Amino acid sequence: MGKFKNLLLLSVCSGVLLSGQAQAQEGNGWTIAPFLNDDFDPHFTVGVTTGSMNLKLPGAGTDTVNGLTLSLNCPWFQPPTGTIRQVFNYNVVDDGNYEVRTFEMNPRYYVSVSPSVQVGVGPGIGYMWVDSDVGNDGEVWTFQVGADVDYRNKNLFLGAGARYMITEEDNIGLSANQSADNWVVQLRAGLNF
Amino acid sequence: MHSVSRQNFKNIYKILLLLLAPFLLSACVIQATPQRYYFSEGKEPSYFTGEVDGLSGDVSIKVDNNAVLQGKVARFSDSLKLQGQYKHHKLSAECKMVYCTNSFSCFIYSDEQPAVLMEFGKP
Repeated sequence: MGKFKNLLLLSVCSGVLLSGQAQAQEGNGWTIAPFLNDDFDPHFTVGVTTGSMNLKLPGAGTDTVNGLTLSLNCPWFQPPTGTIRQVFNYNVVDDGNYEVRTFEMNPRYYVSVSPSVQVGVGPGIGYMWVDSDVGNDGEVWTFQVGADVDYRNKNLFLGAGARYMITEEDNIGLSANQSADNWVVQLRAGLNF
Repeated sequence: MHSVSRQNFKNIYKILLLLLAPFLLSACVIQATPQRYYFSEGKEPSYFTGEVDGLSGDVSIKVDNNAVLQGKVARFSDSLKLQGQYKHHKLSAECKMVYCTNSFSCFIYSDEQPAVLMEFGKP
């Protein structure tokens, strides 16, 4: 619980600092609240995802994780170089002992590697639901850090990414004060609008 | 029965991704919509065409099928300047990533006057 609170606090502080930095730098290329501009277009991307989740719960292992992704240009601020996109992920994994669902909000700072390829990194927060076949169910808040590689060509979107998630502790399965930290490596495909 | 349908669900995702993967190989080159430009009043227009290799960053802009502006966007760079000559006209291009649309654009100038905008990969 302690490490989760510390990381969440770090995440919030980073966001506040970044936001403050953005406000201080407005006029130096930062755009604050771009959604207020008439020409703001979120340029949504929607896609499906598949990959592998390594779930650190007693009796759990590595299994296929599938899900959905939705991203858009960050409406709150944009940096002078690169871009920030708000990425939402919904993941589902069922290894027989646990069915885990996560909803994640993962802002990413992207830079261009080539005209069609961008790499992005960033933290995120989310919520996890655990349905256990071997004990207690649980619901916990999550914090995660990850990196993505995106390929975009007109309407085509392909991507790959990895992220590490730490969670609050709860009475999950047969354990008390159990966290459900996990790794996910994912492939993504979808459409740009 | 439940596990069978769950397995099918997993397989559908994998098949979808495998079907889309070839696009990565075949759709690397992005072409811009051809643009018409009059170098001189009362004369026939010239046609600007262009393509960008989305992976390597190679940029090629042609005027009336003659390669005039060519270059390569460096890795982790989001801009490129090109210069060339076509029928005694000095052409230059300022190309850059347009992150808000996830596309790449080249502003082309003829004798230092704005002439043509070419957009690559805009959804």
